Amino acid sequence: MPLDQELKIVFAGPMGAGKTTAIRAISDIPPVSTEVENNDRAACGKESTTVALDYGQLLLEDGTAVRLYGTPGQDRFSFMWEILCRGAMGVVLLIDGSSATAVADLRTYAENFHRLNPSQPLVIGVGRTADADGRQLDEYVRVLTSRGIVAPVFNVDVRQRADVLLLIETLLCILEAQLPEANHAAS
Amino acid sequence: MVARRIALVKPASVVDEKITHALQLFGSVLWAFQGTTRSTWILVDPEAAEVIVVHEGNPDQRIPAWRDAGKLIVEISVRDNPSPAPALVYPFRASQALALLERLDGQLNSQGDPQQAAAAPSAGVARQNPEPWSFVETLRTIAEVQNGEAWLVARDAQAPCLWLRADGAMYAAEQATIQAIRRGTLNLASLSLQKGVRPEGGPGSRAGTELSWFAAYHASASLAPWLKPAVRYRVTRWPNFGLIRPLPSHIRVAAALASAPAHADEVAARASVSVEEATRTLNALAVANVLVAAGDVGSPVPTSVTTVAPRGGFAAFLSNVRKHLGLGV
Amino acid sequence: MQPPSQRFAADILQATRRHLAELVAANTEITLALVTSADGFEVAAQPDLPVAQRISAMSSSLQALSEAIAREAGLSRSRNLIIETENGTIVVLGIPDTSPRLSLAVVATGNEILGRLLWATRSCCAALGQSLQV
Repeated sequence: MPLDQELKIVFAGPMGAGKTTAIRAISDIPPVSTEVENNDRAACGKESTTVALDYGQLLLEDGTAVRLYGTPGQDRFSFMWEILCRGAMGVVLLIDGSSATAVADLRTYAENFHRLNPSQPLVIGVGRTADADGRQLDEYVRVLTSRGIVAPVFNVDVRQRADVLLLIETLLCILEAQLPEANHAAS
Repeated sequence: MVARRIALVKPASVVDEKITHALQLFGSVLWAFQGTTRSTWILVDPEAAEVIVVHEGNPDQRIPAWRDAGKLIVEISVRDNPSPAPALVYPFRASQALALLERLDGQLNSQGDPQQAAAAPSAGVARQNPEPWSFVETLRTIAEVQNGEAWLVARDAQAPCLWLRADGAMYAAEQATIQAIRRGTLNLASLSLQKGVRPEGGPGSRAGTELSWFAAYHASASLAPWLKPAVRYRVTRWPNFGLIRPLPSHIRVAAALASAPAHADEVAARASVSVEEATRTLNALAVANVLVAAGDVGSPVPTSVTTVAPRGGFAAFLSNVRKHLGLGV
Repeated sequence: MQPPSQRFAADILQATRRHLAELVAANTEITLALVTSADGFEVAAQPDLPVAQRISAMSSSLQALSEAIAREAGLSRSRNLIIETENGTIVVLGIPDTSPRLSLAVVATGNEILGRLLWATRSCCAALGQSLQV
């Protein structure tokens, strides 16, 4: 396949939100990681942090490879977000609902990706929320709507493969809805 | 607590569906707020009732005789801006219906109503002629109330089968009941809802949005009474599918409506689903409060795909990815 | 972001700045030399340019990617990474035996001969490794 026909899905979000876990849940290859020791425990208690990207792959029957990229979470690596998101089929943004900066994180990431490419499908998964009735997400939706961003925001647990698949299926449906009907998958 | 006897009189033949819906809504308020009003309102036949609720202009010839007998006749209108203003104009909020009940209670008190027996606060309200949307209407009414402290319990003929927090945000049921709700094999319209307590040590709680979604989805193959066939609708926010755990077709319909406004036939074609499937999902989206008529909001900015076309085209690619990941189509 | 003085011990900073100053003084075609932690924080830069922070982060990404590629290819640990352009060269090398793990990134103009640049940066790396040894 020519290099300009790369098909990719990007998993983005702050450190500790579950990007590597999500890729591992669906990748057909053991994910390649660029994790190193985290020397900034004040910002995040995780022992390690991604400094370039995570890489996974879906290998379809016809030989098509769908590349799965996980971005580094911290701001200082934001240059990687643009590089990785360029030409991607869509972005899955994962947010840690238990973090004190969850709303700010959502705002930062969603605004960035929306600015880079407003028509790129974006799906948001929020983990570790305090409530079970979904009300915490109402505020997140308000934050997005006030910025003109209409994107799915779901409670998920990316340790569960079914939840990661829900995010991917939603991304595929959004992509499909952008296509002329002749390009829709046969039902 | 005083027991009040109230009757709802439906028209002999359906002239306007809104009339049926308005009476249904009033009945839902009675069930949902059972035990929370000053008096207990019990549904009875008109001949035994102290208050009779009819639609405006009901030609029932018994009405004058009921008035003469001292019964309070309450009219609900379905017209826009009726004059003189009747007791209630559909669509009305739960709070308006409750305020009316309090006023009626006051009127009956001042009439020296002889019925002063203390009613059991947990007296159930027998369901009369359940309509397919009655349970959904109850859920919609409950959602207007921010009462997260109280719990309601729904019973079938034998026993309690469903516990619902009084704001509709959480519910609890055994696994078999949950599956029946999701499959549409539990006749929710036949359940009677009354004040109860949260089941301690019983089934764990789940998001109420799942219950309301599938209740609306399975209620009817026709468009819900509050939706119009010729109107194009669109989704202004996505339902929380992480809690609902929808069918794949639901996601496709939601995506189609998030992309551009459509009515049921159009969204069926766009989402590659049957018209019935599109209709049921539209109903569920409406109950989830994420649907608006296209004229009420600005048009979405048209979006186009910016990723490269895969070898073999998008249709084949999307099929292959779904098949590979075991996703339903 | 916290400045290096709040993130790294004073003796590490002092030793690093000394070695970088010596490297730049001895090799006039080097326009920027910096030491970065594996997770992308600048330890010291010579000269101390505003762009040093960003290049620190980028060089740590490159270092991690080069190690990942070497691993995937079944090779031993990546020793250095070279980026050659029309008008200059960038070299990124891991500094041995340091904790936290550190690497040296050097930007040189086109006039610098690659072999000489590699020799100078490897020498600097070895000296840094000895000074900063755990």
